[in-house]
This record gives sequence, structure tokens and C-alpha cells, in this order.
Amino acid sequence: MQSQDKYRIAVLAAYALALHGFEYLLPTPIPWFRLGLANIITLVALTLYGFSTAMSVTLIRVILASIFTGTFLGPAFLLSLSGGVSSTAAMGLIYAVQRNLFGPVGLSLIGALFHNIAQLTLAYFLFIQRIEAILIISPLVIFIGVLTGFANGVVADILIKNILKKDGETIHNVTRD
Amino acid sequence: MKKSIKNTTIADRVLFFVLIACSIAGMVIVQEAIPQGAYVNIEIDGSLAYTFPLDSDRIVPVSTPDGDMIIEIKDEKVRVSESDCPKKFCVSQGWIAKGAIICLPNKTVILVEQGMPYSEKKLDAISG
Amino acid sequence: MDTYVSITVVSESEQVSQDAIEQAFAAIETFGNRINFYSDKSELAMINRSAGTAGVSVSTETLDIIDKALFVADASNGAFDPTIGPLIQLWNFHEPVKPHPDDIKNRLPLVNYRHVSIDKDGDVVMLKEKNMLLDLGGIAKGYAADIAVDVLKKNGISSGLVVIAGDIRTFGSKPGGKPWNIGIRNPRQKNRADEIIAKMQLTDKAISTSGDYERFFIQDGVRYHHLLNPGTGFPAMTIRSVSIIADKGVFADAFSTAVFVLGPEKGMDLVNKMNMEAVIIDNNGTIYTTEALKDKLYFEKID
Repeated sequence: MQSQDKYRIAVLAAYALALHGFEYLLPTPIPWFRLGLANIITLVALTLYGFSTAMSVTLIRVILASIFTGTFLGPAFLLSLSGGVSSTAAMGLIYAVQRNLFGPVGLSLIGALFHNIAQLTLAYFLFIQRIEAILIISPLVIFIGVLTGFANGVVADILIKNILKKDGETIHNVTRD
Repeated sequence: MKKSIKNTTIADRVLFFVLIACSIAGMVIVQEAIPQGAYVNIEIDGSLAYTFPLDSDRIVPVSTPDGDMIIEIKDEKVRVSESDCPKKFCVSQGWIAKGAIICLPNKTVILVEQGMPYSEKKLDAISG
Repeated sequence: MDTYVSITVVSESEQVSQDAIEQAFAAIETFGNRINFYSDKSELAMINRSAGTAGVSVSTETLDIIDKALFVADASNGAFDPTIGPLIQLWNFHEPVKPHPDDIKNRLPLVNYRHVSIDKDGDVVMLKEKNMLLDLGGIAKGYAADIAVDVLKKNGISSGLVVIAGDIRTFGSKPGGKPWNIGIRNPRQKNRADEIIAKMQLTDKAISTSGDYERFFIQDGVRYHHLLNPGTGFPAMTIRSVSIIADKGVFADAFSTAVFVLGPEKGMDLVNKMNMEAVIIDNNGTIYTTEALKDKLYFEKID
């Protein structure tokens, strides 16, 4: 790994961590309402710098955040990890297979969906073991995920465009007409 | 921002509307499918810990290995009034008359169900 | 009877139901007074007092239950023995005290159902040896359930449920022709969630469960319970609980005790020989059931 990559991962992870922490402090008006702001950074990392950077950023963010909040290896950490890894993997896979099919908004929606599916599944196996309970909350969780995923996708799109403009780097794989 | 929305691909938009439609449909189905309950069953870490009739008011302090909470039953509704879990999703969910309240950190599920817990459901007698 | 009794009937008339239930309770009460081991006034006490000296003339009911007890004793080769009284007296489950082995040894010869003689024509029962004691605790509740069902039927009830502690007799079906749903208690309960270990549907059958959890004390990690082996004078140790399903409560009750004493293998042989159904939970928690019951039992999830 080149030092530039390391630097880039560190900066992105720091941004992601900051958003993660910011979100943690926000009051939650509706249960199960999570903004998933850190996914914006994952999305930027994925489109601009590739899958391994995105996954590194996610892992660093999840692990550090859990250490800061004292939940490392606890249930909240496992949920966070499963959500983060699944959504990054899903977005990475779609992006690798069909680069031009989805824009940042679509990718963000996929990320949010897989994040929720992974968490609900893990919650079922680890904690709840009541399929009715999971089924009752799933549609609401996924619905909220679609709304936040959409908003995050829009923010990510703006960020990506601005970074591209500033950097002057031409990254062909994101330009579309 | 408007530009970003305009820039979305067709696949983006299709995905968005399909997900919205499916989740709303899911919510409607769930609402319809949840039976009006008569009992509050409280499960801790996958096993039933308490059962109370929904129509008698009471305040139940519940102690789990992961944290303590106070569950209140009043006017045929149930809520978690206090919990020492970090985010208090369970508390903010408020009163429910059917369905479930889940507190993941405390591994606790509060279900409003039609019958007694599964083990005694519709039993006429127990031998033993 | 000095235990929990519940009677449920299906009937269109409230009045018929109430009268029938009243009569059934009264019949159980009368029967309970006749065979009470602990009361001086019962017929059973008279038989015991006259042990080794004279025969006692008793009611047809008392004669009949002793006759059936002897039948089960014979069929189980003494694993169930109604003359277990001297040992029951020795073990006191109110305090965690084991009887002295010598005391048990001294009383063992008194436990022998072959030394009970009954004269069916004169309704006379006699214990041949002095100090013998009849105790019908292992058969009386099932028999009482049968009595109650007979009384209910005579009073115009065609379906119902009689529960005497863990001994249950069903007859007819619930409204809508549905069978009765009966649970079998989990012999090792941790909380209310695992109150039962399995459930099944029954019509016109009796079920009785004998378990080591009913009366017991634990000393040095050993559970001493009330289901004594008539051959050794000590509690039978290989099983946690036995549920027997039979046509009559009296046989379900007595054979559940017999099978408990015999252990899972010999017990199952007896059950099959007698054409009954059984659920046996041995002391490792392994569940054995008769072949025909396998499709009819629903097991509860337990940890």
C-alpha cells in the first residue's frame, strides 16, 4: 500500500468517525431512526478510491467508534460491524459489476438496504429469536433506511463532484453523461 | 442538490420507488397482520420471563443481565418508561397496544400477543 | 381429597352442569374419606389397624380400588406395591432427613402385595401380616378421576375434563368437536416459560404423570423423592418423570408409578405389554415415547 493510500484512508476514516460520533450525539426522534451519515464517506471512498479503501475506512470507523463509546466487541459493535461490512460489500459488488447502472444515490440505497438486512438478521440470531418481532419492525426500518439512504446518496454525489472538480484529477470511472 | 437529483440514473429512481413501495406495503401488511393482543409477554435473552394481561394496569421493574428497565401497562397499552440502555429506543417508542417493543442492548422483547405464552397456549390441563 | 381438583364440563344447560359438578365433587370427597391413609376414621385405616388379625368389610369402591391396585402390582411384578405404607411412614419429606438404613431394612419384609387377600363376595380385605400398611397414594387420584367421570356421565354430561393434581381424565370433546389439549410438565422447570415439555391432544383418555419433583428434598446433591422402590425402600433414581396415557385414570396413575420404579427400558416394556402410551424422561433428560405417540406429541422448545 502506498503512503498516499494510507493517508487517504486515515483522512476518510477520520471524517467517517466524526460523522458517526455526531450522529451518536443526536437525539433520535423515532426509534430505529439512524441517519447513517458515515455511509456518505464510505460511498465517496468507494467511487473515488475503490473497494479496498472503502472497506478499510468502514472497518476503522466501526472499530474506533466502538472503542470510543466503550462498546467494543459488545452487541452494539457486532450490529454496527455487520451493517457496515454488509453495506460496503454490497455497494462494492454492485459498483464492480455494473459501474454505470447506479449513481451514488442508487448505491447509497443499496448500502442502506443491506445495512438494515444484515442488522435485522443478526439481531434475530443473536438477540431476539422471535421472527414475528423482526417481521413487525423490518418494513419500518427499511422504509426509514430508504429515506436516509436517498439523502446520503445526494450528499455523497455533491461531495464526489466537488472533490473531482478540486482535485483536477481525472477519474474516468465516475464520469457519466 | 436539485442537480444531484436530476443526475440520478434510471436505475437509481426505479430502485428508490420499488423500495419505498415494498416497505410501505410491508408496513401495511404488518399492521393488518398484527392481531389485537390480550397479553404482554416479556422475553429476556430469548426466553419468556413474564406474562401479564394487557387489561390490568401495573408497573413492572425488569432486571436483565444487561440492564434494568421499567415496563408500564396502563389502559390496555404497554411502554418502557425507563431503561438504562444507551439509546433508549425502547423508551422513545412510547405506548403500544399491539406489536412489539424491542430493546436490543438489554436483549428484551415486549410482545403484545393474543394468547398466553406458547407453552400454555390453549392448554386445558397440565399433567405432572 | 386433600389436593387440587378441577372439573370442566361441556353442556348447554348451566343447571345440569352445576348439579353434575356438585355430585362429582361430593363423590370424590366420599371416596377420599374412605381411602385416606392419614385419617383414623377411613376404611383404609381400619384395614391397616386390623393387619395380621382380622379381615375388614369395606365399601365396594374401596374393595375395587384395592383389587385394581393388586392387579397393577402383579402386572408390574411389585414395582408398584400398595403395601408400601410402612416405608412411606418412614420417609418424611417435610424435613430433609434420610431414614436409617436399618429401619428401612426392617420394614422391607412388610412390603408385599401378595400378603393382601380380598374376598370379592363379602367385600372383605385383609392384610395377612401384622404391621403391614396399605397406602393407595399411587393410585387414588386416578381412581377418583374415574369416579368423577362416571358421576358426570350419569348426570347427563357427555364431555368434560377432570383434573386431580397431575392426574387428568378426558371424555368427549370440547365445543366444536375439538380434542382436549393437555400439557406434560417439564420435570426441571427454570421459569414459567418451560412449564411444560410437550403437549398433545386427548379424547376419552386419562393421563397421569409421576415425577421426582412433587415431594422431595436434596441432600449431598442427591434428590430424595417420594417415589420409593418397594424392593429397596429408597427412591427410584433412573427417571425424572413418567406420563402414562390409558383408558382409565386408575391405570394411568398406578402404572406411572410402576414405570417410574422400573426405569426407562423395563418400564417401556411394561407399557407396551399393557397397550398403553407413555412419555418417559430419564435422569439425563432423554425423552422416550411409545411408537404411536411420536406423531401426536408436540415438544416445547426448552434450553
